[in-house]
Amino acid sequence: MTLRYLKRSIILLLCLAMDFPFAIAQDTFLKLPAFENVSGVSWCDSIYRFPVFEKGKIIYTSNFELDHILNLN
Amino acid sequence: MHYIAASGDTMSITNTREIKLVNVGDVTFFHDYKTGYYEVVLELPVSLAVKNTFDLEKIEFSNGARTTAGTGTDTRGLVLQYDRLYKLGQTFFFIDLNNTIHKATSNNILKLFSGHNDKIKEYLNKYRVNFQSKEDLIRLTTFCNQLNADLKKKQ
Repeated sequence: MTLRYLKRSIILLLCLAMDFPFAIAQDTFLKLPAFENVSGVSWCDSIYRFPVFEKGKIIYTSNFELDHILNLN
Repeated sequence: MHYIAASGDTMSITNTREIKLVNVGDVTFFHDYKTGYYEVVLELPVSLAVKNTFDLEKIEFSNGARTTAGTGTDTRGLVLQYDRLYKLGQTFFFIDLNNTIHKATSNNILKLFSGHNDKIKEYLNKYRVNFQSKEDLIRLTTFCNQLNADLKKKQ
């Protein structure tokens, strides 16, 4: 019984020591390297909601709408 | 929120205090002056919206070496080199008829539909709603709005 726990403990310690990826599915991180401006990184367009600018409209609190169609993102 | 100006430059929208809604393509964004833009996911009397954020998750210190000219070994007060890791995040909100924003939680949905607490509690227990799941929240918001609509029909 004690031997079984000992074996498990050793395996667990080995996993921890080797930085074993317990959670395979991880979130995707966007890395901004030190002293780098966001405009200089390859993923800078990821901050936009849409892949391209799309036609859109702005409606104001007074319900006024601009006639002009804008390309928004 | 950015737009392409007549000159072709990418410009930022200013004077946002007066903006209520922005339609981009088929998507509507509700605007709150203090907290920003919310993408409307489901447009009903009590709507469901999501706030897309760019969250700073981690700062990775590489070393304490100085990159600017300086003397000595004291690095106190100097900017150190570090990498920043960001993650795209989503938080869900309910927007009521008064355009007030409420974070999507079980307490808030019960407050917003206070006349139907028993039925909503039953629904929450039955379906184990995950308040970070868009699909779960769409179903919940539709269900709750339907309760109000049914009550109005009866009256």
